[in-house]
Amino acid sequence: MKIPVFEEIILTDFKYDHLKSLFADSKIGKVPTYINLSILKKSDLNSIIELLESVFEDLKLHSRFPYPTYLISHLPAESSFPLVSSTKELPDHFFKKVKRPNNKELQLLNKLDLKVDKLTNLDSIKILENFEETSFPQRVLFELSKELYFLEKIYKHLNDKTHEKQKK
Amino acid sequence: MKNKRNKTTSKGFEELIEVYLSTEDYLASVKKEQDLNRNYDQYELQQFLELENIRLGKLESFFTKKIPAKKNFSQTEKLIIHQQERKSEILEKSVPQICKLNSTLQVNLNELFNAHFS
Repeated sequence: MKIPVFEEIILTDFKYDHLKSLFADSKIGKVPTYINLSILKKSDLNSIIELLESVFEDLKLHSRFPYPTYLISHLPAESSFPLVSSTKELPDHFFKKVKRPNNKELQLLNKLDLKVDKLTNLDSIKILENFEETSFPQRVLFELSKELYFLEKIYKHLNDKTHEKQKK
Repeated sequence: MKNKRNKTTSKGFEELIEVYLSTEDYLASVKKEQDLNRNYDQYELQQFLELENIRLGKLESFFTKKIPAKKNFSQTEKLIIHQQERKSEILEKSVPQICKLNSTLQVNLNELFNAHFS
């Protein structure tokens, strides 16, 4: 397995079939990658992002798991991909000096490979949909608990005050 | 005259630095720093891979254990009902107390209004 450090995916053509074969052969998902779209104009950017999303969906790739695929553009856009304005903003965590791994590192890489394969084989889109479903009631519970904590504090305070008055 | 003195002082300083750079103490500290850097470089990749293993392990457990468990055996609805019951119970008890004319809130509000608006 390759050491998971950033790899650039260079797009030469924006046709669906070309992108599909390019992404299928690439290491997307197995190592962190980025696609530089900073040369695109705003009018083209959204359509290209939609195209990339449909190719990812077709190949059953996720834009964030196991390893993310970043898009680089100085223009704001809405997408499921993490978007940054330049290569400098990419996380430092995945920028490492690559050297020949020793035995211990090879062992770790093999373990990592198994985990990446396991995560790639999961239906992460469905799992994340489930996660979003379950997260809404959790937020409701959180807000309710916060409110209840506040009310309980007031109630306790009120009781303490009345007890003090009765003692006096 | 001044320039001449400055030149001789800087020359003396240069000589002193040269002597210091050739001392064993300095050479030993340089060697120690190089060794430390080498060690750091040596273990940097290993530590990175260990951290990645831990991170992906946690992600895997989140995807395969925690989310399915949360979906299939969620207790959130029951907890929400319980919290709502408790909330209405507290409100029922505390609102009449606050609304009393001699309650602390009413007394404080009274004082505030009297102090600023009378």
